[in-house]
Amino acid sequence: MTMGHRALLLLICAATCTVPADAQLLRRLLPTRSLGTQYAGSIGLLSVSGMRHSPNGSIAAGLSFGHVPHSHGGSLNTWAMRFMYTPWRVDLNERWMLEPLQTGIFIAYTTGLDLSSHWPSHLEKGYYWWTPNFRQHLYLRTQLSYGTRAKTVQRIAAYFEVNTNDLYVYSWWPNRGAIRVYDILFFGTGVQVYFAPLKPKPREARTGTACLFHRKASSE
Amino acid sequence: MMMGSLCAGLLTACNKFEASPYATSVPEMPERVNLANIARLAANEPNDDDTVTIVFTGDPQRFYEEQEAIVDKANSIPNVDLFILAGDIADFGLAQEFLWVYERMERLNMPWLAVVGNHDLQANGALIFQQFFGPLDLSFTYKGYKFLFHDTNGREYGNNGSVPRLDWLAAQMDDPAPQHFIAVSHVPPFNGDFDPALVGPYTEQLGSDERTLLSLHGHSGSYVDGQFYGDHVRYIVSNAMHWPKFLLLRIHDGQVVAVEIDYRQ
Repeated sequence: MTMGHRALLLLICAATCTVPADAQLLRRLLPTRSLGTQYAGSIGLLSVSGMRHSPNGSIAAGLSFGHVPHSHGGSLNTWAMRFMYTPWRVDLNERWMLEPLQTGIFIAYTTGLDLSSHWPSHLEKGYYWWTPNFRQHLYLRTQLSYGTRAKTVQRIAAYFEVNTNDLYVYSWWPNRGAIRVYDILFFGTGVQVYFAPLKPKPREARTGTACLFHRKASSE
Repeated sequence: MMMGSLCAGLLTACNKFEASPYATSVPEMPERVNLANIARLAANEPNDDDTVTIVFTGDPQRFYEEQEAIVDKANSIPNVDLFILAGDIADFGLAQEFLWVYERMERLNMPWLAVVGNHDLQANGALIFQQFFGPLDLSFTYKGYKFLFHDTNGREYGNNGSVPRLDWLAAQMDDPAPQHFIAVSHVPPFNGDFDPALVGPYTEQLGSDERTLLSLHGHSGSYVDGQFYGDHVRYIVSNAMHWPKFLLLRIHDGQVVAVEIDYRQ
């Protein structure tokens, strides 16, 4: 099994299952699951992601794994944790829905080539102030969805995204006369498949370690 | 015409699809810019003018506004042979930063070269610098002056005795043809980021040949000019780019005149 396969498996797990202790909370707060794939967007030439969404779709969180091949300046691997806020939706008709603006942050951790997560010991502490391979990104997205009316797959969405990162903003801010905002914005595009929301499990049906833990706690 | 601009617009937009800020290649990234400029310099070499005029500054990282002003000022000075950037082209070692500096330097009407700085070696910067500019250590001869561009960022290699490459330097100086040598590197030997074990051998190597005229540096941020090792070698540190002055070096018959020029005027 290659690194890519392992990452994909982990992502699918993250998006679809959790340890039972957290499952009920996640089912309630973020019942909708989605899986996606993205081109570029600073988290790999190609990436796959799993996300969970709140009942009204306004809040989402997820994880992605992306790869940059040697031919595109790699080989690099990027894990990114993403938080997303969708302030409003526009129903275009029965089938089509537009989310004109989605925004949030993602934190990207990249490995490969000469990258390291810590500064070498021969540099004094604080010699360089930034983190070498963790980047914080801000992004804006526009997404168009098509409702399928199927039981499992609720809707299929395509989106376009612009993002920038902490070091680009830090470079741009004192150079606003020389570098345009457009110069620090980078694009990504992708598709996301939304699955039908999970229904809360009835109390008596709960099983697993979390329930065992609760039973034990209540008996004391 | 309209189709042309549309295609150019689309192409620019396509180049905005970033795979990773750490990728070692980005769309529109040039290759081996130093080597291209050495070729340009050789093509420009006149037969009737033996003065070498150099605009010398350093540390352009994250000072793009200042860089534009310096480029404009340098273009207004007649008969400049070469513009030298004394390292730290990027701050974080990201390809995009190299590209931002390159785009501005390409507005110069003279050849320009960059030497590697410690910030250029961050993240995947060492790989990017070599693709973008060429080898970290390189030499060329112009009007009888042999320029020795080399890496002196010893601390970045853990002061392990490998940088600067003394064997390379000695081999380059074992050359009877040039009338003079001009060393160009980022960290000066009197700075704490130079490998302390190599300060002696390095300065002795430069001073061992009467033909060594100058050792040009950046890194420490403000103009320094002097002879520090009891020999004839003159060490000059450039102002960093945020300082409103750069140096104009006029070299004729082994004599160097350094003048500070305010780029705001």
